[in-house]
Amino acid sequence: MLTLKNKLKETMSNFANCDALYVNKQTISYEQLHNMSLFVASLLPQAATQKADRIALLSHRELTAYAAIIACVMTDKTYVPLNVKAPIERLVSMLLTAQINTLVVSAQYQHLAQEIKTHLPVLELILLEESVLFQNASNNITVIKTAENLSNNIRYIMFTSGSTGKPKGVPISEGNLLAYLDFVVPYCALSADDRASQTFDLTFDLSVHDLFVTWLSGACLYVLPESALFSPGAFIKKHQLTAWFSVPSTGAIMQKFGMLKAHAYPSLKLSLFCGEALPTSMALAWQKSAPHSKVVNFYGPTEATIACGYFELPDDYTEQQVVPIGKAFDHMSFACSSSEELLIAGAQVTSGYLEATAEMNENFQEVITEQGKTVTWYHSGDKVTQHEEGYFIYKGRLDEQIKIQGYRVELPEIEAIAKAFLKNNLVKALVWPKDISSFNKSIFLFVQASKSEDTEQAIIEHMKNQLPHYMQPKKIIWLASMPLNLNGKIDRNALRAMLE
Amino acid sequence: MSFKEEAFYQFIMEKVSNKIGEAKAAALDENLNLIEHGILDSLDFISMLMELEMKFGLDLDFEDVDPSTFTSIQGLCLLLAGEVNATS
Repeated sequence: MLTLKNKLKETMSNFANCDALYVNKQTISYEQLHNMSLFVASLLPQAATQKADRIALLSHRELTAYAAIIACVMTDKTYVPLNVKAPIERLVSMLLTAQINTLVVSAQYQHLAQEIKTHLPVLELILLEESVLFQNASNNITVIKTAENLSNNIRYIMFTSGSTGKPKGVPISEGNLLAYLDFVVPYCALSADDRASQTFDLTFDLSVHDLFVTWLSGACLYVLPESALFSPGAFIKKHQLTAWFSVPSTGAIMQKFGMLKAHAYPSLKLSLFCGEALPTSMALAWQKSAPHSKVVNFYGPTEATIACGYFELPDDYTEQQVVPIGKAFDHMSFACSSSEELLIAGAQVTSGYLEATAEMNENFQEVITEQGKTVTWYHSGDKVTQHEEGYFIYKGRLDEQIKIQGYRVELPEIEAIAKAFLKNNLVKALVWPKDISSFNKSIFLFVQASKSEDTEQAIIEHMKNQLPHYMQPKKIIWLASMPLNLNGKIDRNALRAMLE
Repeated sequence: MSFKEEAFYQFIMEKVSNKIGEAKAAALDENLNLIEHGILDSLDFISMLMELEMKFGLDLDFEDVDPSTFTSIQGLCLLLAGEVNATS
């Protein structure tokens, strides 16, 4: 079986003269991208030890990042993307959890990398400048010998919000990722004539789909500039994109601001949505706006590699207000537990979190089948029902995880940080509006204590130092007493009523 | 600047000040792309647009607008002013 690096090498040479990447108003061919990534590979540590195998990446969606990711694949390194907007303390904690000694940083974030290094002096920084990549765009560096066999099996590590107050690292192996790509690349059926969107932040695992589905197909990846992300209509038209992939929130924003008019995007032939519930009304508006496109809802947690279920929107679908999760990819399995939780098994499920405690790994449960085989079921926390035709319908969460524009947020993580800082256990975080199709959700933090300006400033500052921007509460509401329900628990409905 | 444009300007400056402080906001280049330079993230920007719509009774339409033209303080003021002129 071909490894990912060998598959990539094949397309890089088969499509050498085709466009691979459009980023920051520049078009890069496969040959150039290949050469640039070999140059980056020559800068990476050569030893094959765990510490040398993991490469953190501090970069935005820019050329240096794409070249570095390919360099990691080509040299069997694990790439660990870091969010440049995340607080330093959070980044340092991720680097420690993943035991990383090497940080590849693009020139514009050099100061941030230096600041991280003051906390982690052992960290080796590798600075990448776009101009240097261009100088190496036509050099074919052959000194990089890539072994036939894989020396390291983990392709990437992504961090997600953890309910205990610390982000969880999810390692995805070569086998996990190939299982995804072997199904999804033929499903998307892109070719050298296609132009595919890149909207996801590199710290969001859906970006992995963008990169490898596009590059294993010989298509061109179009990176949307930051300011086009909430208003992408003009970009799709200008570049005649043929494949789209975003969170449903992006579509909902487009619908809100007049960008989903009928027949607006005739060039699109495939539109994928993933990361949060897909409102049917938006999906139907998208379908009318992109009349030649298939509209597909992808579903899946980071722990099961990008996505593992899909539902193709039928014409004039009206049955549910939210587009169903659908059925599992052919090589994956879905089951519904007695508590209506969706369980996931198959080759895409990770072997477990980094540095996991027994409590963290409770989500993975081994079951011995009648044939004596051991199967690991991942407990998704998503509440579902099964339609008579076999597909699954999303009904909500069984825990307090929410999505903010596709970003997974564990409300207890925010509460844990606030409780520890305020030394007060009467703290509750809520999301509002609660409506599943709302794209401008915010987090509100309720605290039972008398308000003091100093404390409020201090807690806001502390949250900024601990949490990424999408997890920071929009407002703190100080209450004389926390409303309780009949069981003596904090009454979320009563709190929500205060926000109405 | 008309009364309406002045009101848009005040409203946007207030949001930017909330985010980065009054002194920094006052010193900003009015043509700076607020999103690309990390002054506001896209969530902040959308909330601001929704509040602007509510407050001024607008119905914004960005179908063919290049977003980089209205992600600066001045660009957004001009876009909003244009919107008012188009509907009034």
